[in-house]
Amino acid sequence: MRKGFYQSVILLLMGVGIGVAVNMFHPAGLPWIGEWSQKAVAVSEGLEPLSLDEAMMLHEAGVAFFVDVRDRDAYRQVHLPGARNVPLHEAEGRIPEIREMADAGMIVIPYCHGVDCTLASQLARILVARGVPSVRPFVSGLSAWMNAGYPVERGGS
Amino acid sequence: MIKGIVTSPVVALIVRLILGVIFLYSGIVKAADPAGFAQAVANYHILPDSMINSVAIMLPWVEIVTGGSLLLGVMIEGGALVSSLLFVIFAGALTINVMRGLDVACVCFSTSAEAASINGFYIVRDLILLAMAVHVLFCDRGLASLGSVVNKITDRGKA
Repeated sequence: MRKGFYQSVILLLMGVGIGVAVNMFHPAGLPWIGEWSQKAVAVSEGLEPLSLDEAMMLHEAGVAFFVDVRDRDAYRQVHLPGARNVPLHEAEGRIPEIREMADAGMIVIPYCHGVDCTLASQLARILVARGVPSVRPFVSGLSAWMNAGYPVERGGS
Repeated sequence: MIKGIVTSPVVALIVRLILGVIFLYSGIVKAADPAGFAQAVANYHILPDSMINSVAIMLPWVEIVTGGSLLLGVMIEGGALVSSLLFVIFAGALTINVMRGLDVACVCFSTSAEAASINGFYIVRDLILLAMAVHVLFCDRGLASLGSVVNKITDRGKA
């Protein structure tokens, strides 16, 4: 077993060494420390995240099209008013219906649980990449909305 | 009888080759898209931001080296130990997020965030792979390993 331990240390060092070397010379190499907060990631990718106040304002103006990116059960328990449930793995097939709403002048607002959840930004990226206009992820998500005491809906499919 | 089959060197060789292919494939996919893999690591919300890129830079190559070790039969014990360690870490990360109820993609064998969300199945699959790695650790006798092939050629040369 001692031999195995030494071998595993050698393999780990080899992997780490090759990884570091490749990253140094790779054109798409990563910096050692990155900024991974959802808002920072969204902004760095050219997305324009909505604040809580902006999301509420658009909702009151009747132009918010909330897209709940969480799974079906979470959506049924509670979701934003009028939200449509589009789990991320269904995104590709649901793009036409989302595009239809955007073309009708609605602001497409993907959201999920909150700042710990990346699904909203991920769906926003997919939609923008497919040319869907007016996509503004709401990265503060459902938790911020509920903490503010804003209205929610339950049930649905 | 069953114990004899399970612990046979041929079974250990097959298990080792399967694990080798899995690690090699998984590592190459991740190494080809470091930014995508870093995003996937960030999605798990386990590591601090300052460690995410480092893991995304190094882990794929550790997997590739481990896969190569198992496939070629070089430093098999070490490869099996690293495999076991990685599967324990992966199982822990999956379990934490399944318990949290976070809707994140596994990114076990791809960097696509659009893959199906993790659930208990992924944990069970990971534990099966862990059992396979432990099997290699204790049952592999170096059958068809690079070392044994080199020894045979050397012996023939001497004869």
